[in-house]
Amino acid sequence: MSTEAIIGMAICLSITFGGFLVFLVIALRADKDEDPETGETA
Amino acid sequence: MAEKKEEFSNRWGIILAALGMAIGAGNLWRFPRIAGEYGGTFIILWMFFLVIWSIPLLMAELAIGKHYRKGTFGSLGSLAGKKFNWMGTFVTLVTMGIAFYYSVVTGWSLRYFLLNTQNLINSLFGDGSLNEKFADPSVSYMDNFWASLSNSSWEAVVCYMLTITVAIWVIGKGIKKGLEKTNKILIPTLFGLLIVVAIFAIQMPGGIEGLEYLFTIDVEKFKNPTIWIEAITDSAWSTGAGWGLMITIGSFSRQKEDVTLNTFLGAFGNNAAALLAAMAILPAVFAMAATPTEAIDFLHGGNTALAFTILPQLFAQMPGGAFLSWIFFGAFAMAAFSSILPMMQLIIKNLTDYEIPKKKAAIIAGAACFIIGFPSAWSLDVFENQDWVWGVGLLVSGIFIAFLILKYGPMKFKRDFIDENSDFKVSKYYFASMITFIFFAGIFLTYWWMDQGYSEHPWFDEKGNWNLFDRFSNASIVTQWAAALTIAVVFNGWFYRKFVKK
Repeated sequence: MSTEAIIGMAICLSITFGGFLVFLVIALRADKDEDPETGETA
Repeated sequence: MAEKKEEFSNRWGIILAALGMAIGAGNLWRFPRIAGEYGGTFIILWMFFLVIWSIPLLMAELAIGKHYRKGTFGSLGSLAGKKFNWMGTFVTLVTMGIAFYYSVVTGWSLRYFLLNTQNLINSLFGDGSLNEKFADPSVSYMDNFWASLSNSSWEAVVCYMLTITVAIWVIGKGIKKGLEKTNKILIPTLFGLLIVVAIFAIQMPGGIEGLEYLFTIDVEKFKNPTIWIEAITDSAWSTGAGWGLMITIGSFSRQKEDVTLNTFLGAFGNNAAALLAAMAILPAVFAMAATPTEAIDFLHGGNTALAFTILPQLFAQMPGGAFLSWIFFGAFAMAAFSSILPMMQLIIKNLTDYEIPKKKAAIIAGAACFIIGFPSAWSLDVFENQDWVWGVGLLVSGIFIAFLILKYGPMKFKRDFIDENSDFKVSKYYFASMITFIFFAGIFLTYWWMDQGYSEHPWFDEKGNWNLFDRFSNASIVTQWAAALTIAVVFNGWFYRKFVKK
């Protein structure tokens, strides 16, 4: 693979999958902090 | 006793529904085709427009649905007020127009999955002759199969009736036991299947060349306006922004749900699935084509040709192709089915808002899909016309939703609708400027697509008659939009009384 393609792949994959994972972690953390009784975050 | 409102169990129910809605046939047959054609330059712009176009609209839609807890007629009408209620009606009619012909795609996907199951069984336990027919271009087996399925085929009709029936059964079970439970199975399985196909395809000799085409960023290509327009349009069509489907999903959301975070997660998940599909399809196409030019020619073949004739033929030529093709069409059927569910839910939610019992509403929605979708199942020309008319119509829907938010005041809208219970927040200036951009860009995009000259006679035919029956003519677009707008405007008061004021 050419260097341009490797750079392109790194950028595209890190933004798309990285972005998805970052929001996934934020959501999981928010769920962990949520009070099951009230639904309020701690 | 007050009727208990149906709700998703938690945020994951909403996110999976949003993913199911967004990940559809387009992710598997349109995105890889366009991405392969324009490469990494397109992908960069497509990611950019996710944040510029799709996320602000999806966020607004989810918030509208959550706030009013009604279907699209009621929610958009409540936001619009009586004077502009017709805009919400138009948005709903456009998405219903899509649901009617999209149910045919789910039928086709089911038929191809069955065909590939037959091929797999024949390859494993029989003489493998079916796979040989698939693979041999001189036999044109796949071309003939697709030609017969897409035109005057009772087989296609039976398949789409079957998928509609299953969709009615799923949705009739309710939000938690139906849509949510089904998506919990469909979406992770779909991701898993795409990962399997991608791993196999990349390992094929020449597969890496597909990735090379997919990811190479050519800075010169940024000067090409077509890539920008393809990128923004694909993002709009792929994520379902402006369809009103997120309004429907939002109407079943718990009040404490975080609109912003759930939207970002759903939108990035859609892009991840599309990229995964491209990483599965492009290497397969480039590995099996004799030359890169031939591979590019395959991509120019169009959505249906790529998915239904070229890919099965290419898969059949590779070792273990019968298995891979079976997995791919399993994923395709799941993607199509997970998208038809929220479209039918949109129709059903509006009917239940009209106080029609849920099961009866599901049957009415199914019957409507069957009857109005029938011409698209019977004729590929009608299907392509409907795809064109309501596909461009979605851009108009996006303009209308953006207009209603601008009318309310985008910053006020963000405070009143989006930030309620949101821990994760975006800047009000970002939201307001993007909504303003969507309104003006939407007008330009609508004009651009209508100006593309896909029809030789966009308005009048050679005899000077209104060119209504040309599948890609602007005359056909304008006439069908005018019919939808006429219904929306003439019955504006009725829709307002029945769905908003009630």
